[in-house]
Amino acid sequence: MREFLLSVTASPLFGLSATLFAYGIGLKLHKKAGSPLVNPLLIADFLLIALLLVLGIPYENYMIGGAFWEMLLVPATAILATKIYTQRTILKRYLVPVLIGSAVGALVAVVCVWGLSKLFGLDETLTVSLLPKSVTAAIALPLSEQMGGINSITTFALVIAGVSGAVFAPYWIRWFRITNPVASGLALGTASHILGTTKAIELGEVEGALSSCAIGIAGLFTVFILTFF
Amino acid sequence: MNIFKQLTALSLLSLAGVAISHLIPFPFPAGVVCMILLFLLFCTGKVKLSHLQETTDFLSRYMAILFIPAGVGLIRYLDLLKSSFIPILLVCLISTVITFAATAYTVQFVILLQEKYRKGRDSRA
Repeated sequence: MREFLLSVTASPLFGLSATLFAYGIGLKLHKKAGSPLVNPLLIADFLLIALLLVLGIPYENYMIGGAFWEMLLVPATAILATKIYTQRTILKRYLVPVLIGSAVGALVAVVCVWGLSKLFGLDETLTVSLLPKSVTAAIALPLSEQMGGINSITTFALVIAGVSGAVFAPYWIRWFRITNPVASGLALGTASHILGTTKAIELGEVEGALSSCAIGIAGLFTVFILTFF
Repeated sequence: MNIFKQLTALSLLSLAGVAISHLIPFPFPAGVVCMILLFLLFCTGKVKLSHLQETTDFLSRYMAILFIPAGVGLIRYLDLLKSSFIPILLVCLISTVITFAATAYTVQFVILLQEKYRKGRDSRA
């Protein structure tokens, strides 16, 4: 029985279909709950880890098929270009504030994570794993790997940054008295990547447009900052 | 373009991105190279958004599935996560709020400066 389980899960089809199935459950629960706190990615990861632990399936077996999904990160990053290009009219209008805002935001994010990690006594590996946590996963995961981080920890950090933005953004806008929709939209995309953008779209058209631009632009700035850091 | 052509185009673009990122003398994510390439292609007008519509719609809608395997990798770091859970959580939460505020204030400030500059220019004219 054990041997049967090991050889079946060694097929790429196991990782491929288990990921799809777990994500499907995550999406369903997310829809039902209607709250960003019930994050589909987090649910899927929790289910898959539980499955591997309970059945004693090696992580390496899962990754034979799981690697297929990871490979698609490159084309998924490429299509961020379509988001920026779609918003080119509004982007041209606010070009200077958008560029300066994303650059400052990307720099503050990196410096802040670095300083706080030192303050809380996190080691080097954990620190570099957290550094790219505000940009979209498609950019953050390869960055984390390049710097010698653990991309699983990065994924976890990304979810925290994203979910907190999606949940608390309306409060932050009130606390900090952000009156300009251009500012709140761009800030949400810069701080909380795609999950922040989902919330920004709910807040309004301008917020959503700038937030989706911020993902690619702040991501690009973060790549440059971390490459020469 | 039909789905077959879209997939072919997107995988060739990705492969080109991988090739270029190997040529760059410092580590640079292949996906980001592709993002810049595709943006330039859109700007030249040779490639239109509609050419890749179905594939890009699908990938952006379900993008989170691509990050699941990395998250499953946490299975190898459960002890590390358990021992550093609170600091990791705090670093992420605090830095996200500060990043949000810093970005929003910068944008508002720059827009204010621009308006002042424009007003100054108009009153001189």
